[in-house]
Amino acid sequence: MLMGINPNRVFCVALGIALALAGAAGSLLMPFYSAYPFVGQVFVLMAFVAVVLGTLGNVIGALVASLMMGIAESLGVQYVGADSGLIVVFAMLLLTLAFKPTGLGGGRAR
Amino acid sequence: MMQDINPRHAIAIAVGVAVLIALPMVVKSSFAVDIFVRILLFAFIGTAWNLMGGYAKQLSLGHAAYFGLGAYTSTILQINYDVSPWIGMVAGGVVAALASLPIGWLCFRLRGPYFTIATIATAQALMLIFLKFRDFAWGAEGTTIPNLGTAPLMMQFENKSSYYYVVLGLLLLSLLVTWLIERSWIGYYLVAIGEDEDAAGAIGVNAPKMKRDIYMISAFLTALAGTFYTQYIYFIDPATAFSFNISIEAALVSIVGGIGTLWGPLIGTVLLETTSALLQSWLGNSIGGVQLTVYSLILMAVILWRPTGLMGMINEVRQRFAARKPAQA
Repeated sequence: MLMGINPNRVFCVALGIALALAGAAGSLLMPFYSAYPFVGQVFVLMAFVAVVLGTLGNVIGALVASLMMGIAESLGVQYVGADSGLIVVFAMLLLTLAFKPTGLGGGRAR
Repeated sequence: MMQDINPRHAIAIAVGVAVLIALPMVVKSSFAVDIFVRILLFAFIGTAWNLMGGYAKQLSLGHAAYFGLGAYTSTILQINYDVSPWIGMVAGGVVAALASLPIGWLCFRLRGPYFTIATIATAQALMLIFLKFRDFAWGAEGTTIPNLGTAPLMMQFENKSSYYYVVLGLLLLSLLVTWLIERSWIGYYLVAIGEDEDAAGAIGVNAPKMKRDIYMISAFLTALAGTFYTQYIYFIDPATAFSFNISIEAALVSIVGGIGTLWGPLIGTVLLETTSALLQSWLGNSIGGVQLTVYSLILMAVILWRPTGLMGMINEVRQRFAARKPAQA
């Protein structure tokens, strides 16, 4: 406000861009997912995990974290079991937070 | 609530308890009693969550972990070792309280969203572990609880109103625990941690120890709810016992009712669960999913206009009354 920034406007624009990108991602998923009212629920949690793992507000961190999670889940499905591949992802998240409490992205604590 | 017991409050509470005890004797329909049981159960979980999430403002979305641990401990004890669920319930609570130690050790070093996601991850990881161990806990298909008819010692009853009294007792227990904590120095320490953890630490509050202790109490109570729920629906599987919805519901009813207040979770549950149950039975056939829509509308309205929840609204009205009275006299 003080510097001529309207925070509400910035929040609205940021939310709008984020939702537009999420919508685009949703339509890109359709070739290999079925459409049903709760289809988004799986991704809510996974997106939250990816962003936290890669440090909030760190774009590269989120990208790296998502790739790591994808690989971890595939390895988990292969070696742990078809229904519990995600356990590797959660173990990875908890171990990372145990050693780096603000995620992989580094020292900037928020 | 801050001073000693006010006689008017005591009378109001006694009347409230008497009404709650009389309720299943008046209302005979088992559908209605089922709704009452669910309301009281979620009010109980919400009250347990509120100790941690309300007073100390640690937004945990992983209380399903303790719900599930309680449910599985008592069920494993009952089916494999023939132990009564009444004992299993306490055993489940102890298991959950012990499990909260390592989970808390890991999560309490994190702040804000990092804490929340870590609690979610522990609950999900526990669910996947129980999915994995087939020989130990029946894996993904779960198991049914053997039906013994009416066996009060095994927490099985043929009429729903007995379950109602069990869960009513649990809710009163959790309210009593909350009331005792709220009045004692522990409550003030917790509120101080919730306001500003670093400042509380600076004036001599041992924040890590306080958070650990209140997390143990909260986990213990949540686990009792898990055992009760399994006995009530005669079925257990990892997806129900560790359902993410339980964690969300526990937080939502408290937020709508007013976090960090004694009655908040109860009031929030009564509003949310009653509305959604009634709407589902009236309109569920013609308009599918209408109760979810109304549920989210109530949620949005409360969060937008009454961020302190319904308890905040009630207190405001009472203060306005109190301010007007002397002027009239």
